[in-house]
Amino acid sequence: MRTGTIFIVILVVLGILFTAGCADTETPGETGEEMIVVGIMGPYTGGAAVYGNAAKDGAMLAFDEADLPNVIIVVEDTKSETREAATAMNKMVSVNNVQAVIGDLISAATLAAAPIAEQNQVVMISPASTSTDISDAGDYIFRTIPGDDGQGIFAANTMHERGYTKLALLYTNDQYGNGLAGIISEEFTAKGGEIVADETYEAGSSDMRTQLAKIKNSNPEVIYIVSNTPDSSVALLRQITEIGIDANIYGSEGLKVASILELGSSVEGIVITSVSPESEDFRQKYMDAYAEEAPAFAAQAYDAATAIIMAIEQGATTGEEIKNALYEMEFDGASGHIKFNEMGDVEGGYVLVEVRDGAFVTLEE
Amino acid sequence: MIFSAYQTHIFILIFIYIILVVSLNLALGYTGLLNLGHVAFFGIGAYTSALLALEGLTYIAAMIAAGLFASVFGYLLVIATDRLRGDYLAMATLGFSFVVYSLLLNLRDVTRGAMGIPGIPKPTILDFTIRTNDQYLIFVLLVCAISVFIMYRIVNSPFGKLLEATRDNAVCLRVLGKNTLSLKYKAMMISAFFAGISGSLYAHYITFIDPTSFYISELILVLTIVIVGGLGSIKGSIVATALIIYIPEVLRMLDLPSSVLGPARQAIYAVILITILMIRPKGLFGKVDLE
Repeated sequence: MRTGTIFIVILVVLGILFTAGCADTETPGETGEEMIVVGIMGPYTGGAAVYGNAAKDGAMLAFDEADLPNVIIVVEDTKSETREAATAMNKMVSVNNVQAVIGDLISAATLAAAPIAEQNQVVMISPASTSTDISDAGDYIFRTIPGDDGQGIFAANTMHERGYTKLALLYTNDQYGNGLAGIISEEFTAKGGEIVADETYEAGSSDMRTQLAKIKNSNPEVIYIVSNTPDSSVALLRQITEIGIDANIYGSEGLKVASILELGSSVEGIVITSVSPESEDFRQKYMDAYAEEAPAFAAQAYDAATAIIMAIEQGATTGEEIKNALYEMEFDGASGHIKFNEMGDVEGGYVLVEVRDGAFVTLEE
Repeated sequence: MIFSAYQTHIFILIFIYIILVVSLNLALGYTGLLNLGHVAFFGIGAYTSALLALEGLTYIAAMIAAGLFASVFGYLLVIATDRLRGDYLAMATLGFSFVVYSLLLNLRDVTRGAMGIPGIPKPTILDFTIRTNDQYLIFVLLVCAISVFIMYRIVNSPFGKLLEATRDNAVCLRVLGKNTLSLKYKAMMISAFFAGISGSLYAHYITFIDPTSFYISELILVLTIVIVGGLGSIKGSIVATALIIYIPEVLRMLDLPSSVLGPARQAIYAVILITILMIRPKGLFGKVDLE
């Protein structure tokens, strides 16, 4: 047993030395020229890995194009868990000495890492976190995707303008669903509409019959669905037909997945509110680089990287200088027009997408 | 400070988890209560403390309240499960984890549901606000040392021996005229109290909590640590916490592509668990077998 104890002590001590040793070797500035370290963090394992990798690829595309000689990139996996996000941010700040970070994707992870970035004067740009709490997270916290309030107001306005007064909400019980549904509910009632049903389901579940039965009894004119897993979206739409709800169906981006088109005529006429599509130019570039369609958040991450690159090209070297440059800049990015307001948020544009003849058709506004 | 802020961060997490793991060992290892609801106490403590502090309560009061409130749930959990033992107790307490998770998610007026609670204030003690990682490390170290010392004294007291007797042979203990149910209450309440304290430390350190921080993945982590360290050994729990929190961080330092590193970091818990259980089935310093 004694040897075991000694072994463990040695292991821990080695671990400490090892994690400390790297702090010296990776600290920039020793090569003569001042190097700027930019971090990329996000989920590369776990449920949201697809989006994490898309964002990383999108950001790397911008850095590869710009090919700045004085920039080093470090990547950290956060599994989109709060504790991991805080650890990753701490590591990048104190070991790699980053000045700016692109990430995280999930709002919870971004909110957990944001105070550390703020305290250490490191710029953080999230390409995907839409929670309204991010606006208040700090001066150094930006995002290239508009918050839930943007889409919520857009959706509520659209439904109001089209003359609906009785709305039923059905959404995943997570940060995104609650955030978006909350804004829609607020806006829609403010315009004189009525929320006749407010139902949630657990993320990833595939049986919403109970909730749908309640919605049917409430007799809505329109249902707004917030779903962010393809399986749930398909199950939901199928069950709406089964139960025989004849209200019009609106939904958030989560419904814009190819698998729902397989449901055929029952999904005709569904209207989806969606952030403006990425530019044709970016889509082509992404296709050339990775030989696949740009997934969600790749364009936003590309814009986040572009913003940081522009700041560095203007001569910013520290987090504070990058932050100041970000508040000044304005450009047309891959995901739309980028101009950060005083909360570090972008306006963003939205479009309506309708299912017509078995395809998604973007409506002209 | 000799350590970087990153290392300090890891140490803070280790000390927070030591309190959590040792308190679970008190129930699981010493008293033999196969409690899979421990992470719920952790969450209850975190939420209680965060919400009270946001209402303006001083930190120490919020932390104690977090412990006490978790303790109340410990009492309720024993009431609900007092007729169950072994696997059945494990199932019921696992259910308790789900119930608490579901409450945190759905009591939206109180907990803000899935939105989580951002901006939890850093602890302020007697007008001194703990801001930097170094200060927090000293504070956590202090709380951890006190908590572990108290639990160490408890398990080595005559009362602690009774807890171990409850685990080993409850019938015999009852024949001797001891009230095993009351012993279980006390063990679970003490265990939940310290889990609540560590939840409070966690919430005010990370400053953002949401229900997913207190769910299955967290439970697996804590159980892994207890089992690796060994049931009925405080020393084992401490060593195992340090190992299991530290090793994935060491991997971070290797120059591996992220596509390899991520899965490797995920697999490491399983590898450690299986290796240790193959070499030492009772864990590093364990004294008893899990029935």
